[in-house]
Amino acid sequence: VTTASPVDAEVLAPPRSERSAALLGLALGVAFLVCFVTGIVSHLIQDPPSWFTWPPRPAGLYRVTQGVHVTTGLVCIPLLVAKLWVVHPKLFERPTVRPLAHAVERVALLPLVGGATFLLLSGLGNVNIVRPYPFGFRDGHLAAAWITMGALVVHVAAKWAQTRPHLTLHPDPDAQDVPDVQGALVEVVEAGAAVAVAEGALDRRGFLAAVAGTSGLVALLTVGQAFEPLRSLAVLAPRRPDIGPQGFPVNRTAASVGLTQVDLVAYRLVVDGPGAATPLQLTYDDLRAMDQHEAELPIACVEGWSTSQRWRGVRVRDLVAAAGGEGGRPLTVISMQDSERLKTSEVNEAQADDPELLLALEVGGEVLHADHGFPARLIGPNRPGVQQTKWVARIEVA
Amino acid sequence: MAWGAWLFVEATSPGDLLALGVAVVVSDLLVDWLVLPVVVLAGWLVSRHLPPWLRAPAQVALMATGAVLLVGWLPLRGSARSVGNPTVQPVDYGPAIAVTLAVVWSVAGVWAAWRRWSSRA
Repeated sequence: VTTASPVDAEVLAPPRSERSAALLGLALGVAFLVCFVTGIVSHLIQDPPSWFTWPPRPAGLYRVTQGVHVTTGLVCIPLLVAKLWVVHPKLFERPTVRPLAHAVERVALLPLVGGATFLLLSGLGNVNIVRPYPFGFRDGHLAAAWITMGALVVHVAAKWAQTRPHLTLHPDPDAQDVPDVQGALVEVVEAGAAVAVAEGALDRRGFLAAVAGTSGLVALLTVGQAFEPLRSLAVLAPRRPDIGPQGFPVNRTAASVGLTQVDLVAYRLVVDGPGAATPLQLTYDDLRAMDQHEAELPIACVEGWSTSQRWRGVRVRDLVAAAGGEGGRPLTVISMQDSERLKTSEVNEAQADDPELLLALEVGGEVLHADHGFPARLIGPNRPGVQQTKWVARIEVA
Repeated sequence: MAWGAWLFVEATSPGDLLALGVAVVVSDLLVDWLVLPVVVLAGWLVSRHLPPWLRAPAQVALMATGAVLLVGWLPLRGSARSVGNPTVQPVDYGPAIAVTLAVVWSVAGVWAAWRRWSSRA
């Protein structure tokens, strides 16, 4: 153990310090806020309240928001461990609870730390199909997000006065550092001025740079599942945008819903509903005989992976018009699968009128693979993958 | 916080709220009493038992290794194998993660060698 002079204090400042805690807390706060906002947007798109309309353009917006959501969540894992390591000695401080404000802050730590950890673990588990809890992932993740953000607001309010001086470019030299319970790695000799760091070990700047580098490494090794130029580096991602039937992944296979062999003789696409004056029943051949249109559109999964593909099929607004419906009416698209959550999807007024909302029959120049929704699937701009309904049997015009 | 709990109960049941509470507490205990002690122990061993020229490179390499294994653990053990969807976890993660860690430790090794050489010079 070496002792630095006051002049060297900034260079040899300890990794475990109020400044480290403040800077890591700021980074985590921003990252969690990004995850929270993008996550809430995803929930609003999937269960839209009356005041919310998700536009069809830009076509790749959801791809970006959900890719950012998942990647930022993964990046938070090393950030959170680093932050908790920095403040870990405080877990052993005595007395455990002092004034009321301190008591409130300590109590809020359980939902904050537990909620944040659960959010990251459940998110990581979800993309890897691990959900070891009795409730639905979406419900639990959303509730934990609100609980964690609430606890974060309480935490920031309780710690702001203490944290603020450490967020400046030139922190207050009198600010207290966190004593390290191990004693050997870092030792506070004189509050914030002269400190001792194990010779050759990381000082504060080195530690923070290493945390940033580690977070960057996690991003680099996972973002390729959404950002195709980096797909070959996505060695930690549970999906590869270029691997799957017809060159891209699926979330639900045809085998899992018993639709590997659809009887085309019996197949009918029904277009009806209150807004369809002349309901239609179309065979697969009828669909193929209609005007076909092409669109390059992303398919972006809520689990973070996405890929852009060339789709070909019938414009949905042409189908609605053929059934005597007016353009711009909300639609309900119904699948042949029985899944309660995936059987139907809603198309709002703005999306319904988009010329690139297709009932796709082909992708990449080939007839749709069963796993991609043969004989027909919905594909539209700026919609989550879960709403790009596969194995479409019916379109209801409102 | 109350809003989150209310949303959850409305979508599920009070029993599930208890399960969510347990999940949050278990997550807290897991990180405070399992993950962090391992990190603290690793940091202590590195700072106490390695020569000074090796400490910082080993710390950085251990941090990167820990992060890679935390994020890569589920794909590595094939957690999605039973769902019958070959597009989930579609590659062999063992060699990919091994190569990643080999690169990390090689860089750390070069850095350590440079530190040792420069400390002697």
